Amino acid sequence: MISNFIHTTLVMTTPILLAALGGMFTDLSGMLNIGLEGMMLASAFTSIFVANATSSLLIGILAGLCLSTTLAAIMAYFSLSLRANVFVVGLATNLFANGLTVFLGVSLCKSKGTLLFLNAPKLSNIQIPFVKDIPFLGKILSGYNALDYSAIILTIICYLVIFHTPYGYHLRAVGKDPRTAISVGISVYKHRFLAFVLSGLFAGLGGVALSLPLKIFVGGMTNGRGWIALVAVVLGQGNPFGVFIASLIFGASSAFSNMLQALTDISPKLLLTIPFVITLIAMTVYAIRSKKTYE
Amino acid sequence: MGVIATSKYILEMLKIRKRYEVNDVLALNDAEIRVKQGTIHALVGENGAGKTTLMKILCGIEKKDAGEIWLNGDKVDIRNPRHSFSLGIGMVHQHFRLIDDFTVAENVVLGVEITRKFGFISLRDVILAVKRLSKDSGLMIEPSLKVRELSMGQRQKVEILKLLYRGADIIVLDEPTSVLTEQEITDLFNAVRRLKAQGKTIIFISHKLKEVMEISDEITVLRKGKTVQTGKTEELNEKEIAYAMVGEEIPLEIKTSKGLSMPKRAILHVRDLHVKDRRGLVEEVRGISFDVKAGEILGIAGVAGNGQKELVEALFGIRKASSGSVFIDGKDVTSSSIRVHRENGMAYIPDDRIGEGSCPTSSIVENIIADRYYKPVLSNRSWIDISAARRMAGTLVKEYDVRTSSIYSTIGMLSGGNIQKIIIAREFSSNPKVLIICEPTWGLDIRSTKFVYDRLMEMKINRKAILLISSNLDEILDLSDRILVIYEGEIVADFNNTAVLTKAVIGEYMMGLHLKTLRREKSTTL
Amino acid sequence: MKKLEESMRVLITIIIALMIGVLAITLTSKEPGIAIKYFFTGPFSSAYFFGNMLAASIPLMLTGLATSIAFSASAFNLGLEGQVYFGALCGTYVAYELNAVPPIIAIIVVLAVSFAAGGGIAAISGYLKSKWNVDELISSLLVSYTLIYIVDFFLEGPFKDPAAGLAASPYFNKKFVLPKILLPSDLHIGIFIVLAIIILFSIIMKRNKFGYEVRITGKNFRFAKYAGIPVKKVVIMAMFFSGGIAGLAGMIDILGIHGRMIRGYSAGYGWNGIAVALIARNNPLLVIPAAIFFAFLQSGANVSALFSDVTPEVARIIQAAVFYLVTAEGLLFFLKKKRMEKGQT
Ligand SMILES: Nc1ncnc2c1ncn2[C@@H]1O[C@H](COP(=O)(O)OP(=O)(O)OP(=O)(O)O)[C@@H](O)[C@H]1O
Ligand SMILES: [Mg+2]
Repeated sequence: MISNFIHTTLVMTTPILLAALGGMFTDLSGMLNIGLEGMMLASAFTSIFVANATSSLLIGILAGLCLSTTLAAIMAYFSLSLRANVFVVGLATNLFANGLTVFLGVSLCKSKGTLLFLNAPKLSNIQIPFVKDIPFLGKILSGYNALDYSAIILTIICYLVIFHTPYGYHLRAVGKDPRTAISVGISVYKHRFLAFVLSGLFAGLGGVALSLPLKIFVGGMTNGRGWIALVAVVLGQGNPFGVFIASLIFGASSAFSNMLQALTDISPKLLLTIPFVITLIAMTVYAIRSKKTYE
Repeated sequence: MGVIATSKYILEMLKIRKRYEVNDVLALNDAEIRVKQGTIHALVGENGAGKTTLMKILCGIEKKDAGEIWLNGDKVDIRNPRHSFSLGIGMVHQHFRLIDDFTVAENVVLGVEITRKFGFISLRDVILAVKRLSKDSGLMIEPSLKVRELSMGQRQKVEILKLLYRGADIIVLDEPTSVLTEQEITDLFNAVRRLKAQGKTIIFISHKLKEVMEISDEITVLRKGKTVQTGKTEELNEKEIAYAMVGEEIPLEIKTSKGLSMPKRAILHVRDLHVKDRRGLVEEVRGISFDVKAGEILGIAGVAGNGQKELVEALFGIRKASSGSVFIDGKDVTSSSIRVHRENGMAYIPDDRIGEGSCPTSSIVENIIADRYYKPVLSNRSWIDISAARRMAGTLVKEYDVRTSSIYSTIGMLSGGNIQKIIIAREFSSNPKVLIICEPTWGLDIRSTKFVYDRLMEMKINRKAILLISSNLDEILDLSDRILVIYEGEIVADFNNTAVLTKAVIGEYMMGLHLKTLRREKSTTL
Repeated sequence: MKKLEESMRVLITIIIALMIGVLAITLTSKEPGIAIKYFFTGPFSSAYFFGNMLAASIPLMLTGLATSIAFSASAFNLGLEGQVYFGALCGTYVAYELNAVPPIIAIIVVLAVSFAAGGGIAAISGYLKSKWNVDELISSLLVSYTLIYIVDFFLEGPFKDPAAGLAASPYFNKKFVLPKILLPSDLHIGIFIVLAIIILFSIIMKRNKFGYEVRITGKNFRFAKYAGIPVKKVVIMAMFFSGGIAGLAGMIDILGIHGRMIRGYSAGYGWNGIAVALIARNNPLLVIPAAIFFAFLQSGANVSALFSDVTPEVARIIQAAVFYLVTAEGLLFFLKKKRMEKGQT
């Protein structure tokens, strides 16, 4: 029961964590990308659609990442080269992805509701030998799919990159004080662009983690996860492990909401509000604790 | 010495022209500067003359529209900051370019890091390298400290180390002394002379002519983007330089009226004021008490960051005091809102003119009425009387000699001096009883500085109680009737500004040298 | 000069967005000529289509105004969707309960209730922002997500009309429905109420003390505080008015067209309101044409879908394109370049 809850929590955390890691790069570069939701959605649709059409997981995933990264590059181009407002461009991506997936769903699959992709190969769960047999811990540590595991590994890699490589230093310098970065010859434009591209890749993976394991796509299936990921970025304070912990809180609240839906007969509509309410509370508590007065 | 003409100068910038697209300002118009190897070359001019722009072009931060740059006899086309570094040019900016959250060592190597296996940075190597450099150059500083924790003087050392680490031969210092204390300025000058002895060339920008005369070998004067004079420092005097800068005769001495009036009645009372920092953890102001009398200028001297900002903000109601009290003319305003402070006759001119003292994207009119838009003179029930506002702004612009094409211009387009004039116009015209004024001449040129001083003297003659906070000791000594020294949130000295009081004495108190003795005196009197 | 550039930018935005629409239709339609013709001329082809387009612009005018008020105080109100929806639910409930009250009074009460409901919700985000610096952009959105679920819960359960086939509330008294003005279309006298509100706010923002406070606070918060403006109150009030007007947007639509609350009836009013405010450059009066333009995109797509094989979703792609382009200063790069060349010679 408890191990089940933890297992579900980690599974629910994956898409949020992946998207949040991507968002973190843009946050570190000083230009938060609020288009995570849209990039996730676009990739969720594309990856499952292409995986279904080609019967290849890899091609499906790559197609998803391609689209989300293209969206990210478009956003970067608009906000950096054409000097459009970065928030507005992020909103544009969310709306565009929403419209595009419905539009494509109608044009390609002739349906507006839930799209089933039964031909897509299954993203199987990996049982770690021996570990899986440990009572209690086995259920917690083993039996996740490749995306779940890679989310954890990517967290560690991001940590090393951000705090122990020149790239990480340059990225943080760009975000903290762009004029200083320029004065020592670090290109603000290049780093911000790259951060957006990374956010596209990561959010794309997050989107893949939503649709591939279920083999379905529903319009708006990200359902606010991209926004919750943004809050995780803020709470994580530029540290991948911080982002991980914050994502875990939201994963747990989703798992909790799921569990109540299965176990009680409280209206599911009300239970669905739980992750948002918890996110709002977490954000407020964080703000109160950091005691920054509004300037 | 038989040097051939081309190598006489290490750097020549010829007929440089630069127009800023955003506001269509012609910042440089055939500016020229010729600098000899191993000299200290001063670059002076009024606000907006183009000094910083010229140096930014040299450093590859801005692009020139026309002109030539010759380095060691070769014509160069400086493409970007990295390229400029590789040519041996480095600049310490007017506002430091350091990352507060990084350590000294990380800042010094930023952009040119040493990496080891897998491209990871070796922090140990970095710290060692910086230690060595710091020893070689005599700029001693602990490499593992966070920049956030450093004083302005220490930050400047980091900036210079940063340039030396990149192998700079030409070092540009843009208004390096404006944020430093007397002691730090002396240290800086020593360091600069040492660099010169090692063969480095230094370009030095300043508004303080005394300093320029003291440190430089040669001087170039810019006016409105043009080079109007250049020559050896020993062959010029302050008056000539000032004339070249401004283009007309201006009297350099300040008309002060120290001790002229006989202040009697205290207007501002501050009693045992304590103020905590934003997070409520550290006490930044620790029990300060003083009075300011009508017709008196009370100067508060101190190294920036010793609680001045917190003190002033608590006096004006921007921050809450944790204990103690503030009275304006007998009325307790300790925990009142800013508006109540203003209505009780307090006015405040902050040091941050753009961030706090004005709204750069609003018009002059909107800036002028900000503290009084709701009062009957300017409004009718809940509606603002636009034509009255316009009239008021027009009158004040004339009265305070603001140079602008229209009262609808946005303030951000104006020069620093003119922005300060508008802030002064608003605050002085509110007819205050108490006036708090912080770093009133920071970054201002001679002419604007003189304007500010003259107006301040007028206010004094009109029997306002004036509290002057400045890190510029000359300013404090020239203007104040009485001087308090603040150190780590406490008043450590209280002087009458008589002829015997010297900068050296105040400086010692500012550094906290007499702290112990004073404390002992306190405890014995208790 | 600045004004000219701004209008040029809006013009270019609109042209490119329409071109993208044409492209999307061409790519997906077997008979693009007909589809495009209906897209552009459809909304003007009859009183019915024309009236419906204007009716659709009514809520957008209000959400556009709502966005621009918050924007002026430099606050991003992303919770409009929820505020519209929740305001409408509260108003509908009151309308249903007030069955016996004379229409004029009932309508005024109902509108006041939805204003207060939407405003109260937005004011929460304003309060969190001014008290603890909680980012209002995200907090308003999270509250909005929550509210949408809660409203859906009521429409599917406690407040559902058992006789209705879909999740909807019961109809309220027919007398409360606002009179139509261009039959057979849906256009109703709500448009005059909305125009009056816009003009009122436009004057308030320019001449009123509150408008001045909002503008200065929005442009430089620290300065506003230093000048003595009650900044926290101003931010909360700006969010309150923004949310309140969003609530009105929802309720006027219900009063004028639907006569009851239907699940999901308002989807997109909030987001499109943001685009409308951006096109209008935050100027309340310009919100009127901007909203009509947005309604035109939707109606054009709808009419075109009626008479050809395109899907009405095409409108959403064009609307997104507007978002991308509308704040892009660099769009005028060719103008700038020309000036630079002139400057050099
Ligand atoms: N980034 C910029 N964008 C637009 N205009 C600028 C910019 N930087 C400087 N200017 C304008 O160019 C002119 C020259 O400015 P500059 O900063 O070079 O003067 P300065 O001599 O350094 O003055 P100060 O003594 O105030 O530092 C001024 O009119 C200024 O307003
Ligand atoms: Mg300068």
